[in-house]
Amino acid sequence: MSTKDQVVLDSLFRDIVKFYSSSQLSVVTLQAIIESINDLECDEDMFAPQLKEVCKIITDSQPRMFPIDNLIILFEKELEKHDYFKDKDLPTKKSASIEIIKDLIDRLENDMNELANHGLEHIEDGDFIVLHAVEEPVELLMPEAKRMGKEFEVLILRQEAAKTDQVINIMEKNGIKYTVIPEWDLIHFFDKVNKLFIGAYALTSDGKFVSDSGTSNIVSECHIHELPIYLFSPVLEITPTFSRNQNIYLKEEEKSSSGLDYTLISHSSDIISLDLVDHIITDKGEITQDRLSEFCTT
Amino acid sequence: MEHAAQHSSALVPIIVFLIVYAAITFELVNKAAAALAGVGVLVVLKMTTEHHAVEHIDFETLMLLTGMMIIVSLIKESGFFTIVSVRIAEITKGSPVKILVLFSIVTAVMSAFLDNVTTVLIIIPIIIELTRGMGLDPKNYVLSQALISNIGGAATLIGDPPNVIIGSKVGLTFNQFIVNMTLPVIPAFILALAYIWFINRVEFKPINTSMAKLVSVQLLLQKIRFEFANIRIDRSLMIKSLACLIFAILLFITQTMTGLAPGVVALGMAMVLLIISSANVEHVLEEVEWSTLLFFTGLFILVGVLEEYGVIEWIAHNVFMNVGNDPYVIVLMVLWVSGIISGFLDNIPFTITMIPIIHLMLETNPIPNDILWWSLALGACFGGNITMIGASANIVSVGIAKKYGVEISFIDFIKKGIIVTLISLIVASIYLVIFLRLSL
Repeated sequence: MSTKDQVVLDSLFRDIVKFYSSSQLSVVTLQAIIESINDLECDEDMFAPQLKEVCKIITDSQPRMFPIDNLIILFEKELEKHDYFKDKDLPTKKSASIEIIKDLIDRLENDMNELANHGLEHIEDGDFIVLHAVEEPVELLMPEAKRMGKEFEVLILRQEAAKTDQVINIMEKNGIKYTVIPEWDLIHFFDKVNKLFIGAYALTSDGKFVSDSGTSNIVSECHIHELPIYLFSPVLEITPTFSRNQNIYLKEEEKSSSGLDYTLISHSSDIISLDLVDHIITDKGEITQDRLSEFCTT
Repeated sequence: MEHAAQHSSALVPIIVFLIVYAAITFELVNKAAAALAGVGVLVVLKMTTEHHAVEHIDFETLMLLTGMMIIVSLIKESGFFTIVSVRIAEITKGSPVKILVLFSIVTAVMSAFLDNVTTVLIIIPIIIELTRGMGLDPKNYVLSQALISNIGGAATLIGDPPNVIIGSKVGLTFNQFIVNMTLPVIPAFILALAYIWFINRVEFKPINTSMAKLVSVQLLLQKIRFEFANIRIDRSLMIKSLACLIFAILLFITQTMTGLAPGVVALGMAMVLLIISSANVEHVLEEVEWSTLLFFTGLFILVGVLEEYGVIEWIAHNVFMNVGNDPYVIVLMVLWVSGIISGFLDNIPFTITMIPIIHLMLETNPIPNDILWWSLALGACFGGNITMIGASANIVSVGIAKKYGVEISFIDFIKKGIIVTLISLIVASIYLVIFLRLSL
């Protein structure tokens, strides 16, 4: 496996989750694999090693991304069941692999729809909901709730420009009323807002969840102010692995400002305790932290 | 006696001109400021009067440039270029050779009908995004697009400032440019591209043998689609502005029938577009490169004054006309001298300076079919590729690349630029020799 390929894909994952939720990133990645299988030119016996290499790059990504991580594990299990179609010719190997991926896409899309259906129960007329990144609640719930005629408002916490711009775009496109404030201004809004909606990259077996960087601060602050926190996550985001195995990416950048040179260190995502979350909403409905392992798919 | 007095007083405009030229070449001050300051000095020293100075300005060139800048700025605002760039990126499917070839074709065609700076401003960011996202080194791709934009720009009257100036000041039509310049530009483009591919062939290996790379490319295209397509698309403005551009080109082509000068057409269509699009005129005017227009204005006056004092005539007689009367030697000398000088000095002031010199050369050696003008145009456009400072598109390309964290040094540029220029000038030489042989 080429380290360069791993670095390229990791960087793309980190960029794409700035404007897509991790669920949508998973759909996009599976579609990319289908396109790649179609375009691939290789010897018949090299098809399986090529697939394995791609699967390894995705599951080794920094940070690990779910549901795609789990979907890739399911994909590999299915391939192993058929022994990677080793007795078939290349076109058959390709079409059979594509069929498996299409089934996984259907499953994920179905889960996302279910998640939206369950999530809608938690949006009521008059709500003033806090959001900060392009996660499942922003992509799935808000537009659907608006289409259903629910009257609510959102408070967008401004963080990284690319992420905030996309949240605003989605609100604009769906005609949802919004207010944008810097993240550190949230303190002035606790008497107005009534819910915090967040998403996750992964729900780990040690009672943590991995989410977009900046989530930890917001969750902590909301928890202190007893603002109900809702975490929306398809069960495909539940992993039997620990939070320390999530390959959080550490970035070091050399910066220069006002004649001062310094190194800026940042992390790709936050690890937060699920104890701070009041409601875990999945495509199977609301679940409690102690039942996470029951819903783990891998 | 009077002649001697004229020669001695010519020293002042020569010194002023050389100082301005040095200031422009070494980027000591803003180009427009340097040229207009030079004019100011000449007026204060009474080497010319303000009324007389204005007579040297070629308004036809300024109208053509202003008109095209307005039309292009509205096409850009409509989002058309974004759609084209993203579509091209999708068609390449991440194949390094396809990225090089398709983007080069787009750059060459766009440079032929728009100005080169606009072209690289549109193409370079997306090519950096695409190549870097794939783990490739964007440097060679950026360099290739800068070089190709100068070659493509040579093809038409409106493609490159030297052509705009030659066309306007000499009265050559859009069709004459297309017919006479496309013939050497196409082989020069193909050979330059082949050379760029050859020296970087290891980097241009196909990627469809690696599924990991194919997956990355698909994700990268998704990212590019999102980032670039998030720019607002104004379909109504796009249709109107493209219609105006196409209509302007049609009027350029039919210039001999309509009698409308390109400057009148460009500015006229720009005004029509401003009216029918209900664009915010103040905003559009902010997009016009006033600094370039003022730079042209200043240079026209400086060269006009030199002409007035007999300096141009002196250069023509003592430098260019010393090579004898052989038309082949004259044509090739103009081509190569223009090419080499344009590589190190700005080709705009060089072209403006050369026009009166060539007029004088043609008086004693009437070379048919405007071959000497094509020679100047090809030399000035192709020569701009030698160094980073040879053409505005080069400076802008290197600047954008730096903004994206891609460092291109003067030496990096010259290493590729000098060979590409050599190839294009050899192609131009062959073409001009054949053309001359058929014309004599």
